Formats: sequence, C-alpha cells, structure tokens
Amino acid sequence: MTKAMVIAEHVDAARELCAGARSLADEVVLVAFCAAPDNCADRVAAVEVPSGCALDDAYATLIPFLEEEGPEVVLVEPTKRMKSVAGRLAAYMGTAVITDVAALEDGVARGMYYGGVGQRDQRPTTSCAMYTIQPGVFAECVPSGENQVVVLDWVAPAAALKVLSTTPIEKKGVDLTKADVVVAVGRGFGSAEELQVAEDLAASLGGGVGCTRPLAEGADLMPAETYIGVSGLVVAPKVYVAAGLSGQMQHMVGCAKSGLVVAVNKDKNAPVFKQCDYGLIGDVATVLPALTAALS
Amino acid sequence: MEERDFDIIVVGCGCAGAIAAYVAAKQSKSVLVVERGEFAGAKNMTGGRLYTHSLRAVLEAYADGEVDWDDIPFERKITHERMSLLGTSSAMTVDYTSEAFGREGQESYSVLRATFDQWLFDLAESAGCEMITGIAVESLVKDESGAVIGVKAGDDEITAQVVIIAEGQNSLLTERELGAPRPKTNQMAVGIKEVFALDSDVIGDRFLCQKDEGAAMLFVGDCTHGVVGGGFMYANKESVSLGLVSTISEMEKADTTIYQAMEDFKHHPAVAPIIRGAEMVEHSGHMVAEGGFNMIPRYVYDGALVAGDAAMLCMNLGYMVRGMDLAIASGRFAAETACEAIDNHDVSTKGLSSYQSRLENSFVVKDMKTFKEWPETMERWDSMFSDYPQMVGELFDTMFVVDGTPMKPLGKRMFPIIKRRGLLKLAGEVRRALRAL
Amino acid sequence: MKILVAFKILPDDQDIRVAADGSLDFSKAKPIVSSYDANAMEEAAQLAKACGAEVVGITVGSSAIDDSKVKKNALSRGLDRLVMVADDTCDNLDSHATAAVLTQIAEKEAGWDLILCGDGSADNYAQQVDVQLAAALGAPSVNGVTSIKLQDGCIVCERALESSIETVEVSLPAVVSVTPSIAEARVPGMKDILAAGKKPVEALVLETDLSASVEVVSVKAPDQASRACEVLEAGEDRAIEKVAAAIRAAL
Ligand SMILES: Cc1cc2nc3c(=O)[nH]c(=O)nc-3n(C[C@H](O)[C@H](O)[C@H](O)COP(=O)(O)OP(=O)(O)OC[C@H]3O[C@@H](n4cnc5c(N)ncnc54)[C@H](O)[C@@H]3O)c2cc1C
Ligand SMILES: Cc1cc2nc3c(=O)[nH]c(=O)nc-3n(C[C@H](O)[C@H](O)[C@H](O)COP(=O)(O)OP(=O)(O)OC[C@H]3O[C@@H](n4cnc5c(N)ncnc54)[C@H](O)[C@@H]3O)c2cc1C
Ligand SMILES: Nc1ncnc2c1ncn2[C@@H]1O[C@H](COP(=O)(O)O)[C@@H](O)[C@H]1O
Repeated sequence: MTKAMVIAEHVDAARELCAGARSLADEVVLVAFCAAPDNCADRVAAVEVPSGCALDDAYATLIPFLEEEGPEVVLVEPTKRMKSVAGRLAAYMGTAVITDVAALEDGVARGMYYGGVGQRDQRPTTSCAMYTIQPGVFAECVPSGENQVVVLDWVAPAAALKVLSTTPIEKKGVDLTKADVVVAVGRGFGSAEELQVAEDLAASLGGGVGCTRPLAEGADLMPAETYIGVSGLVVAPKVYVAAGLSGQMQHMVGCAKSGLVVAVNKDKNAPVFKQCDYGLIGDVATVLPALTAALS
Repeated sequence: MEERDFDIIVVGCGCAGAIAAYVAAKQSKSVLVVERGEFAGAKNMTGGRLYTHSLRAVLEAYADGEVDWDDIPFERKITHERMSLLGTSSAMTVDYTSEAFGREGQESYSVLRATFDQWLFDLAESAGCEMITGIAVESLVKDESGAVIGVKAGDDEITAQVVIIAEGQNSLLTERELGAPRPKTNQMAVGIKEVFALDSDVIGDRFLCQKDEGAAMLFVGDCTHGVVGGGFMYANKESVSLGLVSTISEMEKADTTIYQAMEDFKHHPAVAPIIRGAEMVEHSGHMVAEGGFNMIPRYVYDGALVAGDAAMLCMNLGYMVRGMDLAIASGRFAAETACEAIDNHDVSTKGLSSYQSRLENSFVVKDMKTFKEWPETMERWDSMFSDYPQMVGELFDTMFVVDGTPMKPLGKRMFPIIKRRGLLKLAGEVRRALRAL
Repeated sequence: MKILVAFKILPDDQDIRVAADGSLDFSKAKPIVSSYDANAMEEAAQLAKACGAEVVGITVGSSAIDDSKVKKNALSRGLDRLVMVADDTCDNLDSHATAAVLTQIAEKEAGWDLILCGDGSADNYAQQVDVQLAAALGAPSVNGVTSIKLQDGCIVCERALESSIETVEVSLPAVVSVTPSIAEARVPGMKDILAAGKKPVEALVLETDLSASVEVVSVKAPDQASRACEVLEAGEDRAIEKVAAAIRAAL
C-alpha cells in the first residue's frame, strides 16, 4: 500500500496533482489551502489559516500530520508559499525537495539545470520523496476519491510571521499565455518611451508585450508578471518576436514551444540568432516600426 | 615627493602592461594594475605568433629562475613558415622549415591570448602587484601643472608617482588626456580572426607538423580581394587561428566588406581543407596600427609613459603583424625607467626621458625604422595584392593544366600572361619593395 | 547588529560549453558569485550602512570556490568579511546538506540577527536553501522579499507573491530570501576592489556530517527545437517584407 500526499493552494493545481498522485500511489491525501476539488482524494485535510497568520507557517500544523500519515511521495504546487512550506517539511524529514519538476517517471524527476542550459534527472534517496511539480505534468491523469474530510487545527510556530496586509496584483493587458502573438522586449529598450514601438507591433497583430526578467526587475520598465522564462511565464504563441534581448537560455526556455520565432537585435553575434526562424540585424527603434508598417 | 597611493599604476594588462607591472614589482615598487576585461585576455586578440626573445630577456633579468619556461602556456612551437600567393581559386605556396626556427632565443610560438594573458596576469600578481579587473580607466588625474598623478574610473581616483599607459591600440587615454593625434584611416588596419577547434592529431596531419610543433601560414592576394593586407593561419594545440588584416581606408574602397572577405577566405581551396569540419569557437575584431615608424607618437609625459600598441609600437608588414615582442620590451623599458625616475625623485618628462633612449637603442625602434618605408610601399603597390597572385596562378595553370588540346611551348604560353602586367613595372616594384624591407 | 549573507559561488554559465555527446563542459567556466545573490549582498550592505551593522558573507562549496579572484569579487560588494567552507565533499550539495553546512557557519557566527539569501542559485534555482537553513536554525523565514524595513527587534518585509503583494512582520533573528528587485547589484569600483583585497577571509574545516538525499541520475544539454535561423541585415533589400510575410503565414 503506497501513499501520496498533495499540498496545494489553488484548485487547479490541487486537482492535477491529486490526479498525478493517484497514478503513483494507492492512497491519496490532499492538504488544500483552497476549496478542495470534488472527488479527487481519499482524504482531504482542510487547513484554515487564521487571519493575520501567514500561509508559510502552516508547516507547524502539517508536521504532525505528515508524520502520522507517513506518505512515500509528496507532491507540492510550485508557488512561493508552498515552496516555503515544503522546505520546512523536508527539513523535518531530513530530505531535500526536488523543485520545478517537468516530468516524473519511476521516481526520476526531470528539471532544468542552470536555467535550461542543462536538463537534469534526479532521484530522491530518502524514504519520503518530495517534489514541486510544474503545471501540465499530470494533465493526462484523472483524479478520484471520496474526499473524506479531516480537520487540522492551526498550530502556530514559535516565531510566527505576522501578515500586516495583502494587496492583490491587478493584471492588466493581454494574457500572454493565451495570445497568438507575443512581442518580448529586453534590455535593448532603455526607457518606457522606447517600448512604444513594441506595443505598436503587438497591437497591430492583436498580441501582447512580454519581457525578459531584467526589464521587470531592476529596470522596472515592465510589470513583474510579464516576464518570460525559467522563473517567469512559459508561453507558446504562434508568433514570438524577441526584440532587443540577447537570448539567454533562462529566457528562451520560456518561449521554446512558440510557432515562429523572429529575433531583432543589433548585434549579429547575439545568441538569439541561433534560436530563431528569422533574424533581423538592426536597431529595434527602426526595425519594429518597419515591421509594423510592412504588416499593415 | 608627494605621498601617493602607489608607486606605479599600469593601465591595461596585455603584453606591455603585465610585463611593466611585473618588472616594477620585481624592483620592490608598489604597483596597481587596472584591466578593463573581466579577466586578462578577455577581449584581447592577436594573430597568434609570439617571437619570444624579449620575454626570455625579461625572465632572465628578473625571474631568478622562478619561472619554468615549459610552464608558459604557449600553443605550438613554429617550425614551418608557409607563404601563399592566392588567386581567386589558386594558390602558390612556399614552405620553408629550418633548424634555426627552433633555436633558443630565436624561436616563436603560436599563442592564444585568453590563456597567455592569464599567465601574464598571474605573473604580475605573484610578483606582488595589486590587480583590479573589470574596470576601465576613464581618465587621468593631473595636478595643477598638468602632470599625470593618477587614474580615475567612476567616482574613484587612485594616485601614483608614475602611470604607465598600456591600453593597446586606439588608446583613448593618450588621445583624450594627453593630446596624442588620432590615427588616420590609412594608418590603421582592421584585423579579424576566428578560432576553429580541431583535434590535436588532425592539426599535426593537416599542417604536416610534428607533435607540439606548428606552422605559420601567411597569405597574400585574393584573401583581401586584392586590397592591401593579408591573411594568416596559425596552428595552436587544439585549434587553428585564421584571420585577415586589411587597411581601413582601402577596405572602404573595395567591392566587399572584411566580413565577406573572411567568408570567402574560409572557402578558398588553400584554406578550406585545413579547417574542414572544425567548429568555430571564437571570433574577434581589432585595430592594428600600420603607420610604422613614422607614426610613433610622443610616449613620455610628466608622470606618464606609454607602452606597447598604445604607443603604436607595432609593425604591420601586410603579410604579418608583429607587436607582442615589441610590447613586452617596451613594457619592460617603461617600468625600468619609471623605477629609476622614482628612485631619483624626478618623474617629470625629463626624469623619464631615458625611456626614449632605451627604446631607440633596442630592436623595438630599430626594427621599426628598418621597415619604415614599407607601409607606404605596400600602400602604393596595389598589384602585389591583386594582379600578381592572379598572374602566378595563371602561369602555373598554363604549366600544369593538361586538357588534351595540343600544347604550345612553355615560353609561348607564359609570355602573354606576364606581358599583360608589364615586365618592367614588375621588376621596378620588386626592387622598390626589397629596398623597403 | 550582525547580518549574514548566504551566497553561492558557481561556474559562470556564460562559459559552459555543450560537448559533442551532449554533456556539459565546465572546464572553461570560472567561478563567480551566483548572479541574484549579488542583489542580496547589496541589500545587506545598504541595511548595514543604515544601522551600523556588520555584514559577513557565508558560502559553501568545493575547493574550487577558494579562488582569490572570486573571493575578492565577493568582498568588493559591501561585505566586511567572508567565512567559507571550501571542501570537495561539498561540491553540488542538495539543499538539505547545504543548509547543514551553512548552519555550522552560522552557529560559529553566533549573535547574528538576520541572514539574507538570494532569490535562488543560478544552477539549481530551487529556492530551498533559505527555508532549510531557517528550519535548521529554528528561525522564521520569508521569501520573495522586495523590501526590508528594520524595526525594533523585527523587520517588516514586502513580498511579491504570484497574485498578491503581502506585507509581513518577522521577528529577529530571521532568514529572508530577497528578489533581485530589492537592490541593484553594484558594479564594484576600484576602491571597493582594493579594499576587498585587505578584508579577512576565514576558511572553516567541515565539521558537518553530510548525507545526500538526492541522487543526480544524469545532466545533459536539452534537445533544442531546430529552427531555420535565417538571419538578415534589416537594411537589406526586402528583408523586412520577407519576415513580415513569414509572420503573416504563421498566423
Ligand atoms: C536563476 C536565474 C533565473 C533567471 N530567470 C530568467 C527568466 O525567467 N527570464 C529571463 O528573461 N531572464 C532570466 N534570467 C536572466 C537571464 O540570465 C538573462 O540575464 C536575461 O534574460 C538577459 O536579458 P536581456 O536579453 O534583456 O538582456 P541582455 O542580455 O543585456 O541583452 C540585451 C540585448 O539587446 C541588444 N540590444 C541593445 N540595444 C539594442 C537596440 N537598440 N536594438 C536592438 N538590439 C539591441 C543587445 O545586443 C543584447 O543582445 C535568470 C537568471 C538567473 C540567474
Ligand atoms: C589581427 C592581428 C594579428 C596580430 N598578429 C600578431 C602576431 O602574430 N604576432 C605579434 O607579435 N603581434 C601580433 N599582433 C599585434 C599584437 O596583438 C599587439 O601588438 C599586442 O597585443 C600589443 O600588446 P599591448 O599590451 O600593447 O596591448 P593589448 O594586448 O591590446 O592590451 C591592452 C590591454 O589594455 C586593456 N585596456 C584597454 N583600455 C583600457 C582602459 N581604459 N582601462 C583598463 N584597461 C584597458 C585591454 O583590455 C587589454 O587587456 C596582431 C594584431 C592583430 C590585431
Ligand atoms: N552553497 C551555498 N552557499 C551559500 N549560500 C547558498 C548556497 N546555495 C544556496 N545558497 C543560498 O540560498 C539561496 C537559495 O538557493 P537554492 O535553494 O539553491 O535556489 C541562494 O540564493 C543563496 O542565497
């Protein structure tokens, strides 16, 4: 009899991970920080986070439960707070979490190394295997179960975090994961005004503008939720225009599944030209408007 | 003398800078080296052949036996010289090998700057120099009298008794801060180089060389599309360096770009088989001074000396460029002069003036003087780079191509080809060239 | 006040080559400070400046990290000193084992108030060492932090989560992992680098029992989608039109 535990904070992830857990183990226990999806696990532990407390601190509540259940496998949703909870549980179990798993077969987890420069297969050697799993890995699996409810009372850790406020991030603009065209901008753009040519091109094709990580963090020219890559969004539009970005692996893994990739860079030796269908050597300030004009 | 942060600051850690720093540190001076590359050699380029005499002399004078010659990361000892005259699709090659090439003090090696400059850097560091990498000196600090007393980058100023400027070709510091004239485009050549990875044994086979030995191949003619300049190819341990050098003003007039010329060069039948199947692992472009002796600018200032390429101490002979051995020697002389001046408490132009006599009494300036006329001769002698290589090709075609049509006597076949170029003109040009050399 | 910054030293990914058999060749890659850990160092330096704290860099790795250039580089980023464990048994440790060795260092540096970590290491990017370290030290931790305000006995952090911004109060001592946007990593100046050469570096002998909880089965370069790579000068005749036509055809 094998047992798997799933820990998630969003319904979609809870459902997919439970389905995956079902394919790996006989018994599935879900710990949900959201409404549990219907019929997805044998048992569902609902954890209510008291107001002012941080979800990260749920580890104190979960450690006794984990010990009691003793699962061989723990599948966790890869969010910041869940990674924090998983790390605490792993520390307690004397193991390490294998993170951001893109494929899982016979306990061997495939993930990225150096942000995509390499692909690494790893296997846990401890009795409890813990993974955070990327969305889509278990898309083909089907969840099942009675959803028997277990109530866990909140246990506060010794030095608890105090949440003073929470402000939702308003997502503006096009959903890049669903757009047919994404124009991605990089450090070749130095100011908000310069971005206009990218916005014009995206608008003329009914697409959206994404970016590389330095443009969202540091340069702050673009919202954080629009950067594409290993630590950001993964997109697969029909057309991806990589403009003024060098084409580092950490970025390119986020758009590898795109249909047509067009690169615009003023440096003819930029690595992006080895990863595109068409490349245009030139300044984004002139090339993008010319493309927009040619397309209208 | 005024209190300063260091005795000597060296700008640039190429051949000239590293040796200057090493020599000064060996004379117990406090030395700071500021190098712009993330590591020494990061952005440097050279064709890749070092004549070792000046390096040997420095080590003999200063290393006290601490440096093992065999530990220096040379690539291959050059034991074959090959010269090719290239036509569009023909090549006539002379291959010369001599025991003299290998003799101590005369030998030359192929080098790769990334590893060789790292070694130079470590040499200077181990002699006790303070090393700063990843920062470009932006300007010089001067006192009220205009004498150089330090360097500046960002908000930081660091002072020294003497600053040795060894920042290589296209020296912005001497131009902007010391008023050196900007070289004209006909005094500058541009060099580009690509490095191809190849198995060590394959290199031995393709260059017809013994293990650890290599060939230097120089090309004239079609490689620069008939423009003044030339091509080179050097065998390294596990790679081949291939490049072109061409005068900027001439290339501007040509029917092609240097990049296109490089593409064509790689496909030339004299080159393609050697690099067949090899992956290009590095490419770079760089300036080369080619004005020669007549172009050497002022290199002694109050509180500052200029060494190596920054002082235009580089010889471009069209078919080859020689600068590293000159850089090493001038770096040494600059350091020796600076140490002496500091000890004598006079770092003014006058106190530093022996740098000039040191250079002038050495091979550095003497060799440049010997070849003084060459740059101009070369510039005027277009045919050397266009007509003659083609002509030689045609001559050999007439000698060796057998296609079943009845053959005329050799002399009858060859004469029209030579006549087209003018025999007298050819003879005159060759005479003039020999004089310049 | 005493701030520790945990940073990783690893081979520069710009110089990792893919060998013919698809394996990764690290032989040309020089050791560097993991890029996003430099932002944590800068934040530590700024906090320390504001309150007169000492900043100690702590790091664990193979003997290759005991390299004069990278140590100097780390120390030129606002650290006062450096304490490291450089031992070949510490090459490529998993997050649990890394935290165990860092714990050895932190216990030796008793009296610390805050440990800053980066957003994730450039090789593993597991975002786990910070949490594991906090667990081992029995300290609270918070990740994704974009700003830190020092208060009496605690800090107030703003953190960026997937769909919200959270403000949390954390009592000290604590472990905090920060995102790169918290502070732009400095480009060390000449004086920073010169001063770095004079700062103390201490190498500790490894005294931690290490057991791996993860086994690496294989590492290789990923198969890349092959693309046409038709690269044109934008000014070239009809280049723009050609690309525009390809875009139209793909939609
Ligand atoms: C752990 C980790 C995770 C990371 N995750 C991500 C991630 O998810 N996503 C991501 O994007 N990055 C990520 N990175 C960062 C990544 O390594 C690169 O640093 C980043 O992608 C580079 O961004 P860039 O191409 O915009 O900038 P650069 O590399 O600086 O390139 C700018 C390019 O613009 C060109 N250019 C400049 N001016 C012009 C002009 N006027 N016209 C045309 N071209 C011009 C230049 O030639 C250059 O090629 C991560 C790094 C680490 C260490
Ligand atoms: C294509 C080509 C082929 C050649 N072939 C040969 C050959 O086969 N044999 C030969 O002997 N010579 C050859 N040369 C010439 C030779 O490369 C140079 O003469 C020699 O490198 C000069 O050494 P240097 O130390 O003066 O300058 P460099 O080697 O150019 O070193 C200058 C250093 O200063 C640094 N620097 C620059 N500016 C700053 C700044 N502001 N602050 C801090 N650091 C700075 C640079 O990064 C560099 O490390 C060739 C040159 C070219 C271009
Ligand atoms: N070997 C190490 N030495 C010191 N700090 C480390 C080491 N590995 C990771 N860290 C720190 O932990 C953070 C998270 O690392 P990781 O879990 O590997 O993504 C990094 O950003 C560093 O701040």
